Amino acid sequence: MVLPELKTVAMAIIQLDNVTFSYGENEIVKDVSFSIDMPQIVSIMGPSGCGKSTLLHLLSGLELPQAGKCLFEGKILDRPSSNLRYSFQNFDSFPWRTVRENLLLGGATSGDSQEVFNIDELICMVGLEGHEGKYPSELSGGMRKRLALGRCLAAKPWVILLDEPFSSLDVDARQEMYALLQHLWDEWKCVFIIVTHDVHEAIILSERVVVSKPLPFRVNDIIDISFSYPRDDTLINTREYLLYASKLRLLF
Amino acid sequence: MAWIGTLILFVVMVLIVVPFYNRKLFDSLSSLSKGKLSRIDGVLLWIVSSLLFIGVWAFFSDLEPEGVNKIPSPLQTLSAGWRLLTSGKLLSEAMVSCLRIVVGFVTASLVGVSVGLIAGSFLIANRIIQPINSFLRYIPPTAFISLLIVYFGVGETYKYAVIFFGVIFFIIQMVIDVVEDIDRRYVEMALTTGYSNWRVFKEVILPASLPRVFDVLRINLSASWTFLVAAELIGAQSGLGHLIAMSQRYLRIDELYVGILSFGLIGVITDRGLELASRSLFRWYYLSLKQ
Repeated sequence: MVLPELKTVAMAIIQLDNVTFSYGENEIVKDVSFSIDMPQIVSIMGPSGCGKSTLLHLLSGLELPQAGKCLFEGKILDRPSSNLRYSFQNFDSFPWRTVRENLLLGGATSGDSQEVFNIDELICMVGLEGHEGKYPSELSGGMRKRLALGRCLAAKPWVILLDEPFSSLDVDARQEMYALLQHLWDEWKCVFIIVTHDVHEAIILSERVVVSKPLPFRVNDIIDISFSYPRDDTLINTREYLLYASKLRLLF
Repeated sequence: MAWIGTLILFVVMVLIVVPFYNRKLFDSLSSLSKGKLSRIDGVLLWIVSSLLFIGVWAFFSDLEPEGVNKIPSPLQTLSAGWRLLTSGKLLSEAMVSCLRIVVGFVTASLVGVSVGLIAGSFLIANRIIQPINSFLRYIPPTAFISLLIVYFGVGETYKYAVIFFGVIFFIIQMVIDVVEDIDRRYVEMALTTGYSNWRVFKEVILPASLPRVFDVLRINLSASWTFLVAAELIGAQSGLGHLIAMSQRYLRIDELYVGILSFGLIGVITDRGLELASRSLFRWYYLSLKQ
C-alpha cells in the first residue's frame, strides 16, 4: 500500500454502477451510479428517510447491493476495509475506552503493512491534548466529534464516511469542526463522504454534492462547488454561494 | 403494648415530613430525583427507612401476648443475635453458608456467563443453546432437588449443585439478553475498523456487556441464597439454613429470626460491595448513564 502516491494520483477511488438495495419489499436505493475521485470532499444530501445512511452502509461494505456494483479501488466492495472508515451518526466512539484507547483502536488495521498515525501526533492534529485519559462521556459534543474524526483518521484511510457528523453541535462548534475537517483533509488528502441535511455545511465543505430524490435513494443531480479551500462563513455574502444554496434547496 | 412501635412510627413520620416539607420531594418522579439528593438527605432517608422497618416490626411484635406465636421484638432479636455472635455459632454457620454460596454461585457464574456470552454473540451457538436453556429454565429449580439427592446424596456436593442448577439457566438467559441489547452500531463500527469476528467479541461485545453482566450476577446472587436455604433445610449439619431448621424444631423463635435476618444482612453487605466494585470497575458505564 503506497499511501503518499495517492496524494498526487487522481483516480476514481469509489464507483457505484447501477446500485440497488432493498430491505425486504422496501426499495431503499435504486439504480444509483456515480464515482468519487481522490482526493475529494463529497456531500450526500436528500430529504429525511431517503436512504442516505443506507447508501453509506453500502459504501462501507457493511451491506451488499442486490443489483449493480460498488467498487472500491477498482475492486468489488464485499466487506468492510481498513482503508475505508465510517463514523456513525450518534455512535462515534467506544464509551468503555478512553480518548487515547479509542484513537489507538482506530489505528488497528487488518494488515500489518498499513501505515498509521503516531498517536500523539494524531491527538494534536484533532486538538484533544489534555483529554487523552478521559472517557467519551466526559467530553463536550465538539470534543466527541474531534475524537470521532481522529478515530477515523488514525489508520490513514483513503476514504472516511461521516453520517451527519455535526448535526448535534451548536453554531460555534460547527464552525470549529468545519475548519478542523478542512485542515485534516489538507494534511491527509483522502476522501471525505459526508451525509448532511445542511445546505450551508455542504457548500462550505464539499467539492461535489450528490442530491437524492425522496425514498428510494436516486441521484437527482450532482453539483460541483468551485470555491477554493480553506472555506469559511465569509462565503455566505458571495453571489455564487447564494446561487449554490438556492439550487440545492430547489433540488430537495 | 404496641406503644414502642407506634412511637417509632410517629418519629419516622416527623423525620419524613419536617425536613422535606418544603422541598417538593414527593412531587418529583423518583427517576428524575435519583442521585440528586444531598448526602445529609440520603443519610436521613436511610435512617427513616431503617426506623420504618423497626417500627412496623415493633408494632406487630407488641400485638401478640407472650407465647410461641409472638413475634420477638427487635430488642429480643438483637439480644439473641448477640448471644449467637459471642458464642461464635452465628459466624461459623454464616461462614459455612457463604462458602457454599461461593463455590456454587461462582461455578454457575463462570459457566453461565461464558455460555451466555457465546450464545448471545454467535448465531449458530445461539440456535443450539437457547432452546435447551429455555426448556430447562422453565423447570422450577427446586424440582431438581430430589434428583440431585439421588445423584449426590445430601453432602456438600449436593448443596453446591442445588445453587448451581438454581441460578445457571437464568444467568445464561439474562446474559444472552444483555449481549443482544448491545447496540449493533458498535459492532458495525468495529467491523468498519477492520476487526475480525473474534476481535469484535473481545474488544466490543465483552467490554460493552460486562457492566450489565455484573448486574445479572448481583440479581442471581440474591436468588442463590434461596436455593442455599432449600438445600440446607434437608440433611444439613451446618449453615444458616440448618440454624433456622434447628431453631424452629426447638422453638427458639428469636434465634430463628436472627437466622432469617442474617441472610438480609449478608445480602445487603455483598450487594453493596458488588455495587461499589461495579462502579469502580466500570466507571465509563456510570458516566454514560448520567448523560
